[in-house]
Amino acid sequence: MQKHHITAIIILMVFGVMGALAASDFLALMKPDVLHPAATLTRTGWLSEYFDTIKDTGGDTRIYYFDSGEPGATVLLLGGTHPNEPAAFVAATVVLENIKVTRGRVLVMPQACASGFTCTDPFEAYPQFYTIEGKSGPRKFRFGSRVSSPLDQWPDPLVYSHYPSGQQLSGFETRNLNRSYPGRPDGTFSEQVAYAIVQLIKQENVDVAFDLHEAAPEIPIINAIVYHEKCEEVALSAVLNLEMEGMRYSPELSPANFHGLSHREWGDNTQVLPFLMETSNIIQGRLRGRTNVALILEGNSIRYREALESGALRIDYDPNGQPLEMRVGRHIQGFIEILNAYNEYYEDNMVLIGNLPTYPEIMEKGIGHYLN
Amino acid sequence: MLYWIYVLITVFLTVLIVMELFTEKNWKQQIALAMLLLPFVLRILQIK
Repeated sequence: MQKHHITAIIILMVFGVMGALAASDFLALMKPDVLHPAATLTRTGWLSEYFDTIKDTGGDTRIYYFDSGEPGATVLLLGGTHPNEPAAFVAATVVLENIKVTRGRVLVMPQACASGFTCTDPFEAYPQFYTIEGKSGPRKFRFGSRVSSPLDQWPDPLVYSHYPSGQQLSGFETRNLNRSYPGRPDGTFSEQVAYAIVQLIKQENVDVAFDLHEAAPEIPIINAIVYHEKCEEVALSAVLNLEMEGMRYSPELSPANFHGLSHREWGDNTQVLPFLMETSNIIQGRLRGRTNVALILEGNSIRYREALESGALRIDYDPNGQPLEMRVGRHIQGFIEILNAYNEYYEDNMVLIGNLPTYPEIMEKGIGHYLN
Repeated sequence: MLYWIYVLITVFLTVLIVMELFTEKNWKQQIALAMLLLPFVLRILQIK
């Protein structure tokens, strides 16, 4: 054997070990997060029950049903539409681990884009996991990608043309669940998942639906409630009630010509009253600096603070940051107040929920206190 | 079908790189080729 053959074998072995370590790291993201639903859980189902083409694919995801047995409204709560927006997933998890429904039904889908939880976005240096100390010990959750995994949907076109509007977006958005509604049964992977969610809304006669999100601090719609025009009264009433509690939410009417988003397409294509809520997520920001777990949990960036102090920052930024507690608390308080407002307008079809922590309680005791 | 075409292309390129790795005499170039090989192997295995 010649000398360069021996070096080739040695180098291959070294890189084989490196590749195996990297593969093991990537495969760890395939393991589902463990959730502990409240004792009031009625049943657990799958999204594929509403559209079986997605069964046994990366798009199928769990749905948790809380049925009071009393007639009333049906509510759907989605977290994890964008798995790199952890407050949305954690807020849905806190709801499903604590909620008690005394009238109507609540359906919780904490990981709407299950595929996106199996990878992270390229070139963003995102951590793969973060841990919150829960009542029963540390709770480790996946931090995923904004879009579905390329293993489930590939390749991306140069330009994504939304169905059925024909609206054109960047090719990357073809894997974005919240640009794929209302979806279609013979469409792309993301369109099929979107279609399944719309089928769920229709078949379960969902009255009110929530899609929880986060956005970079520089995005104008942070700390907002986006609503479809058919639920303006409920949204504005909720925002007013939140203001009276000292919490600022910006009411944003869903643009009629911005297609593919839940607050537009759910409202246009189904009977549901849709709401989308946003909080400020520093790890998505362009100025964030070192990208690590502390950024997810503490929501505080030295770089944003420096930019604020220099006078260059033209956005509303809290120099103390926006920790995960604050963002999860805002989502849950918004969820509670929108349902309170809904009950005021729909007295004959109310939904009554309880045992959810309020914003002040989460800020005082932390999220872990409400994770089983 | 598209998936299998993708796998075939990736396997073909992987074989070429491995062949090049064993004919290359400069160890620094061999390291560069091994680095190049990693993403191809992970893609064939559908890991990343």
